[in-house]
Amino acid sequence: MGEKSTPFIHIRNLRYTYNQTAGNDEAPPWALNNVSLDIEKGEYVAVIGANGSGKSTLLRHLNGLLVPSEGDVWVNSWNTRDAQRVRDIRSTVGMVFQSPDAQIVATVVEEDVAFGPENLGVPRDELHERVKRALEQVGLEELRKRPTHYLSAGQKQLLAIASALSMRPACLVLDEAAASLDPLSRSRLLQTLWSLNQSGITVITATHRMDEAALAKRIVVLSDGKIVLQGHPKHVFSQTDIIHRIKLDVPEPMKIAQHIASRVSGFRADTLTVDELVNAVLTFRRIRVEGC
Amino acid sequence: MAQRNEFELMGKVVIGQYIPTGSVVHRLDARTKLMLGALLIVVAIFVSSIAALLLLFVTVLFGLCITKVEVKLAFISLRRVLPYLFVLAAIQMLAVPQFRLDAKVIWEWRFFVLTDRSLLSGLLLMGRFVVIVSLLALFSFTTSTTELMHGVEHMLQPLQRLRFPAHETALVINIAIRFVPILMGEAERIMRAQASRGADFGTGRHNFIRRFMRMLPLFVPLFILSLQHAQNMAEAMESRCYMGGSGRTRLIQLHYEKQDFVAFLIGIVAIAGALCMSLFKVDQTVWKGVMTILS
Amino acid sequence: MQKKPVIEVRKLTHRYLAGTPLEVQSLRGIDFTLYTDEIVGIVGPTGSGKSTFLCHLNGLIRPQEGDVLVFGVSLADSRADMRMIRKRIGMLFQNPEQQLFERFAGDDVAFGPRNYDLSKEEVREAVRRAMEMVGLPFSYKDRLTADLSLGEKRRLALAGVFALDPEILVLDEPTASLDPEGRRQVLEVLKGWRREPGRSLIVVSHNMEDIAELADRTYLLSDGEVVYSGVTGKLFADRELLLRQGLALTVPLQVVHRLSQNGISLGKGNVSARGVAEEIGSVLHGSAQ
Repeated sequence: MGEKSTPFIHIRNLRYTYNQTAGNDEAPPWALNNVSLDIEKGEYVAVIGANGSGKSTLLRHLNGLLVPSEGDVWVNSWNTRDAQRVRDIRSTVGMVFQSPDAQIVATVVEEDVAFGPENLGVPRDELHERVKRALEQVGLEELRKRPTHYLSAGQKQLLAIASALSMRPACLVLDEAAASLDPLSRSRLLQTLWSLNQSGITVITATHRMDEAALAKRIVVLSDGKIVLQGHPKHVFSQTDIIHRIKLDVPEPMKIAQHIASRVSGFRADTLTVDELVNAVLTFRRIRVEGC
Repeated sequence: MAQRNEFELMGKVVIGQYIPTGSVVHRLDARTKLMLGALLIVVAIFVSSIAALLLLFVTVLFGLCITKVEVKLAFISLRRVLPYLFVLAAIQMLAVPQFRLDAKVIWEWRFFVLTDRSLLSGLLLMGRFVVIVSLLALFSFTTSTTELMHGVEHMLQPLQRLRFPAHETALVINIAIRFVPILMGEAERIMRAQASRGADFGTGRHNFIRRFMRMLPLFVPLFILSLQHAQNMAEAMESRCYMGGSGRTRLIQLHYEKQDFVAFLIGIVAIAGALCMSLFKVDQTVWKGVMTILS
Repeated sequence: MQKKPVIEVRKLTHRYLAGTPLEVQSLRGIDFTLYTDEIVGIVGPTGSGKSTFLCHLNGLIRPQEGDVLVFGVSLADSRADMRMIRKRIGMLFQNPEQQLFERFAGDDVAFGPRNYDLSKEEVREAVRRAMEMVGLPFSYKDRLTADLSLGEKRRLALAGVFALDPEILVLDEPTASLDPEGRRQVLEVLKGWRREPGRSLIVVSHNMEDIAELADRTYLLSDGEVVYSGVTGKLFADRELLLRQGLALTVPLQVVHRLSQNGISLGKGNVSARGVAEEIGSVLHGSAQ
């Protein structure tokens, strides 16, 4: 009843099929099969799964690009089926896609960032302010007047984030945004996401890279359109049998830790990052040395 | 010794180069340049006086000089067209029967006849070409596609009230132009991939159908890629609440400034002068004068 | 036993858009050798000339200066039989699934053999063999190309190259955009293929883990020049060089470095996760004594 108890994103019994013309007696191929999920404001959630597990489909329900075949999706207490609310939903949930070129609309950086708020009818003075702020948030202020085709792939993705941020969304959804980037651009993008989350923006990202997922505060694991596992990364990746059954993997630092644990009893194999692994090794050695 | 590379598409395409030098002409409103340019071209086509064309050319040359761009760059494109131009002019001057009626024959050989009328017509043809090409060069040096699109969109804006999709049109053209180099790069990549598997993109002289079939390994993937781009673009635009041109505000507003009025003035004067010269048959007077002096 | 070079590149130089005011030097005097029965990796930051270099290897770009010798044939020679060269060197570019054009999967694999006028039976056999090599069932030949998953399409494109039975395979970012399972499958296929004698592989990749896993030797390209060439392990041990070139360090390398900063030094030869883990295991056992 009280609005405070409703989570920011509330998904109930979501079912979706791309095949709208299946006959009545056959079950259509569900891309999403009875998914229920709640996401609170300020969370950093990573959705992982093999190719074809339904990640992109799920994300497209979050801003109403897709509407459930069965079940409901509420964003900020608005139902995504409500045509009157589409604008509100899409300016609350900003979306960034995988292809750097096919989401840039304008030929100049600042004009692309302005595209979203222009569509919302934001008055001109505020437009300038929003463009400036959005570019600062991703660190591209200096490229304000640059033609968009002169940007590198990494810069284009940062631009795409800025163009979503200029609508002042409460939440940023990214569909494999770093997939086509080289390692350095990817790490810069992830750092940007981290600081955006620190500043209060909810971040939901789909990825098939385990090292990216390890950075999130909560992981949702999809397989064949269903949620098979969710929780803190340490918890999720410790379920190695499930992880391997659905053809995923654990982050490298954890793999190394697991190898070590198989030879050294008492070594905890739940290290997600290089930092954690190094600290675990040092701590272990110190304790062992002191223990003698 | 360099050999021609079969697949380097990017190097072969010549688009009018935008050369930003910050000159006055660059700072003119895009609409000024569009309207003046269009007017000058129309006048150049309909005027039938060499003196008038000369006046127009001098005006364009003046414009080129103040752009601070090397003037000879404008004539590089003209140079490539020159051989075709000469052939056309020659045909006009020597082989079109209409100019032989009521005309004074200047020179004759076999069935080629040069009359005073055909000479004039040939010269007019070349003159018009020169004016138009240098005008286009002036335009493309000083106007980026972005500015051009803003100009077009602003000018179409009043039509929005008549339910004409002005913003949508400008946006579609803008995005299409933006994707030309992207698609060309992808075409190059696909051609390389297929060639690496032994594809031969029609270097032989086969009939049209066979040639077309050979290009399928290029056309089909390119088409699919274009559709994917279109789909992705549509999703991105929808996600940013694009719902057509109505109700939108604009970051970039175009304003007419002092230099636009000056440019219009110069343009109008030149056009008026050209029209007068054409109407009052200045050519005839000069021609008669030259003939009198010569004889 | 002396290994035979199958590709020799000498002082290869290339200028993009040569002769125009937009001319840019993309390759500066590259020397490169590929022997039989080995896997060579090529790494380098974006814009270092890797793609341009690859295009020289099967004659898509002819040498402007310098020479490229493939199986002893000079590609600078205008009489070189490019058709034969392209049959013996198979090349797979980035995102190869974008080049698929046939309606049915099997037809796309058959594209290569059909271009070389093989008989119907030979084509069928080549396709069957190629699909088997990449782990796709022969029955997939009648599936619609559009219905395949990304990983399957990637392997289909690879099959298309295998169908010509090349002796040298050149791959540009073979595991880009693939999920862990897809990546594992591609790496398995490549390693399996290379085990047959008389074959060699060149892999260009941003993914340092792939290079570490596959390549015996590696070349580091930067700004059109070869900055390092030698044993992969040695390159990976040179952390400063990798960082200076803007390349990512593999996780095992990062771990080794951080531990050495804290007083635990591991051997420099190991670049694999398992190897590093075993060494750490030994150190920890040692400290327990």
